[in-house]
Amino acid sequence: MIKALIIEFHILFLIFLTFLLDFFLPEEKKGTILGYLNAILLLLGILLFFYFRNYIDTFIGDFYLDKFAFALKLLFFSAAFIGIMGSIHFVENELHKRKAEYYMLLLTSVLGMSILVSSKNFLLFFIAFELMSIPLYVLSAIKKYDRLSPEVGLKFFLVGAFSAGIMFFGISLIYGASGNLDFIKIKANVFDITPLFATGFILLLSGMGFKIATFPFHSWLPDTYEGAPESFVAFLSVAPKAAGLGAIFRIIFEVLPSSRSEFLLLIVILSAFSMFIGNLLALPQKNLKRLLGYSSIAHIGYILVGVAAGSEKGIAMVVFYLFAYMFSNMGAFLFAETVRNTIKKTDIDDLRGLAQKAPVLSLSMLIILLSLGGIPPVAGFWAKLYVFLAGVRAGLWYLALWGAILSIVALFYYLMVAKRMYIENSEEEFRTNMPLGLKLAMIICIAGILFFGVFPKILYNFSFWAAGSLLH
Amino acid sequence: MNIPLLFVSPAICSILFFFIKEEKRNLIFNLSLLFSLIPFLLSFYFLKIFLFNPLTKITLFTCSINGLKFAFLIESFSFILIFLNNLLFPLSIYFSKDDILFRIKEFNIWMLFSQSALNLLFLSDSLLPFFIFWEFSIIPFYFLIGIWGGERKKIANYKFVFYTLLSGAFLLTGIIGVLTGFFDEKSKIGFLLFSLAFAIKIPLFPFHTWLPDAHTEAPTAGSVILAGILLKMGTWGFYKFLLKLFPVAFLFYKNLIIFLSIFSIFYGALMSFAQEDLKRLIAYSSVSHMGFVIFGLCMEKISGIQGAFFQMFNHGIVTGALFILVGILYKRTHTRKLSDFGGISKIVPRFSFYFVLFSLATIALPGTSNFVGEFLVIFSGFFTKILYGVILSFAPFFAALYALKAVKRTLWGELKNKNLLTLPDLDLKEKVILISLTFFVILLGLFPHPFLYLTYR
Amino acid sequence: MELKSLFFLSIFLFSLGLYGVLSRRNAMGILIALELIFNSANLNFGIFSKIHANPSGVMTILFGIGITAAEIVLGFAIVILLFRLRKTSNADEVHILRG
Repeated sequence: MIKALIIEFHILFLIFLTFLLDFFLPEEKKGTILGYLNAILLLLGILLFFYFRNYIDTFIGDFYLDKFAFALKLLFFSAAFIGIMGSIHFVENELHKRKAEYYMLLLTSVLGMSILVSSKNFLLFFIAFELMSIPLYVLSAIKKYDRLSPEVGLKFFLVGAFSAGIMFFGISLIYGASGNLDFIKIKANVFDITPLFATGFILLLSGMGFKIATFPFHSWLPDTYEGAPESFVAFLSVAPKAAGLGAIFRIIFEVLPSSRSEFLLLIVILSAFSMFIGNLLALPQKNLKRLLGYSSIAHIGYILVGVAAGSEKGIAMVVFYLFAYMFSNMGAFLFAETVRNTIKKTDIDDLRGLAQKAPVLSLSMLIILLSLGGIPPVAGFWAKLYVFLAGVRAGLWYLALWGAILSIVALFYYLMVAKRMYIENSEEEFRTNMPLGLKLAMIICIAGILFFGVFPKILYNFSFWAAGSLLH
Repeated sequence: MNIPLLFVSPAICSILFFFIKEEKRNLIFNLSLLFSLIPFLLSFYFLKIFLFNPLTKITLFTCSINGLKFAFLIESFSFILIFLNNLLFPLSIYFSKDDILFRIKEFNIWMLFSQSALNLLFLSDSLLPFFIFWEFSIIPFYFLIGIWGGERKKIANYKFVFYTLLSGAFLLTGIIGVLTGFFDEKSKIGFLLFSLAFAIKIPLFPFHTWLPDAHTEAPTAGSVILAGILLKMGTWGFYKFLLKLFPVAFLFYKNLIIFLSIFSIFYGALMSFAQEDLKRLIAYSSVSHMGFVIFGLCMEKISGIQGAFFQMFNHGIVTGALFILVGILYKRTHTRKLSDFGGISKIVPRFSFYFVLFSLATIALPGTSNFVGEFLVIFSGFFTKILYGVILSFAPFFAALYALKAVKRTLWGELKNKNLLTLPDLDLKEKVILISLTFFVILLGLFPHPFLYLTYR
Repeated sequence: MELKSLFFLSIFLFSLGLYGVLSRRNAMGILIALELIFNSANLNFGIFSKIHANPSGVMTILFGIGITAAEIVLGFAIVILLFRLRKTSNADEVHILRG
């Protein structure tokens, strides 16, 4: 049934529309018009998800639109919507001659993610993975003549391509061990894990590990976050990771035979180390974006607690966490973009006395920081609580304790940022330069954090609904 | 004390502040005083109910979000702490009127928010809201100490935040364990996680190092609340959750906790005696007093629990008053060193009167409310084990060491510092604050019946 | 020749590629090493397709070659951009960003 592809058709329509309009629109207005057009159509798409709901559990070939994929697609749409809103001014003012390409590449990447979380075949899986990744390499270096951009592009590309290679090799080994590329057939044919299968699977997981930047595959992330354009990083820090985690869930629950405890132990170790490394390395950072980069490594550690739980609750809580994380982390990077847009730098020391000069902006950042740090009563608190609850239910209380203790370190550096804004003073001028799109995107993030902080039940029920489809 | 009212009143006040200029100091302080008095007046309504029947339990709000219970309930024990909370907040806001000189809007917003958070914390009947407000109470104090604190506020703030967050981490893990049914009443790990969290907050002996710094460097209003209310979060959690969740594991660790609490009593008193900074001296005395509270709670005798709650209330009043007195001195002389004072009793007789009064209350002189509290605790100690009672009977002597040292070095003796000759005595505002606190000390000292009636089971 | 020994060849290629990626300093060298990794996987797909008599492996090779080409072309583009701006293509000479 072709209907299963309806969400992908929506994105494809956007890409082609952008492509066509690129020829007709005047150069100096292109960024704004295309940006708002795409944002509105993405918002329309998000609203249409109520209608797309009717097509759940349809499939075409090895492409399944199940509830889990549906929920993640909603997340990609929201992230793309916020990301595009937040980058309109950047595209218009700082990109020359490549304005439409920015949106097209971003949407292509969303298309890749959208297919990735739906695919139940390793060939489709790999193609979707590359469709998601390749535009991101281009986007990270899109400020072509910027001093940092080729370096960022090269580092991100080399690590990404390397991970793709490892993944591809891993898939070939899994194919060798099972004789199939189809998830369902592999699960039906493989009863015990042979060394060949295990090697392939670990290589596959490492490849995914690069994408979601878990320890020990995290080293590319801070550099990329520091060098790439902020409003793009807002998107990069959320959507590809969500896609990667969705894919990891799918391969763990739909490819691995039921005796998967060793692999879950592997994930426990990755989780513990990611939390540790991310939080500790974030402490000495001087640059806001690098700090957020390291903190997002730690967040992946928290999310992996839910993965390691290996239960329906675990999956649901990860979906919950991803939504909360989307609002908070995108908000944080949009704040960084505002700061850069105003004073051209993003060092933490430049935030001194911001609360006096830009009270509303600082208050929003304070809320975002509290959400990232998991302080009640904002969305991030529920996310962390639920993930730990799922972890302890699965007997991982030591991991939850480890995470809870390390989240003190996290709060410590989040509060350092808050301290710069609220407690310290500086004479330097700060005239907030926040264009309309950025403002709207920021308002959406704050509204999301507060809304799901006060009414977590809505998101909770949605996550549970989504998680049910992965485990039969 | 309607739950929405608690949430809404600081929010309304913050919105009102939005329209008021920073220059209108009086208006801002009067508004926030008014909003912080609302819950205080409301609590008299509950006082009437509980004096009628102390066993009443009024459920204010319950709901369950995804299987996690949220219950808010008021009973006579939590009422005592809520009453104390709503008494101390208006007084300290009132005191700050000429103590806090800059960024007053923010100051009042943080104060009002922490008042509501603490009210809600004492109202929580289930673990999750308790934890939520436990964590939330850090944020206002982070800014109160950080922005309006003293010279060494940086290090004090680090210590305060680090220790409190650490306690939050232990508490979170413990709570998650309990909610998932992983820790039952026999679980030693669960008990240790909870008791570590509370021991940091109370603070018990090895975990107390954050307290002197934070209390000394906070602005006066902050110190009053830190000592008066924030320490009670720990003892309240100890009474409300720890003893009820892990009764079996508690028996196993009971002696250790009793030992630590006795050690805290004497250690705190001796450390207090050794201080040269007046505020630090009072801060250390808190360690000593909180030891009494924990000891009383551990006795599992009704007189012990009564005494412990009596002491919680007294400690809030008396230590709060002492911090305010030191704040008065500091505001005028900009020093807190004992060596800078001496012989001011003739210059500021009214100040000296209150200083002596509250110092004697710390020693638990008969006639002050502290006497009743400490007597009840020691009494329960004698009933459990004669040895405990005998050891505790020495505690007032140790308290006399530091309290009389403070009195002697500040008020009596020769006047060495000539700058102090022009020291002004108490003004009207300070008198109002101190008289209202004295009222409780003397009233409950001579006539403790209503309190004992409220806590009797 | 036996198919199994071909498998060892692919493992050898993979290791060579892995070594190249980790040790090469020049970006072009790294790209070539990446090609080796992709090709070793392609070789694997061919071998296993023959062993299991399953055609999907051969199909994957076709797609794999296409994707690899796209990926490596992008890599070249970035290296050329780097060379234009910095007059170098050595990966460890680009270190404005710490780490």
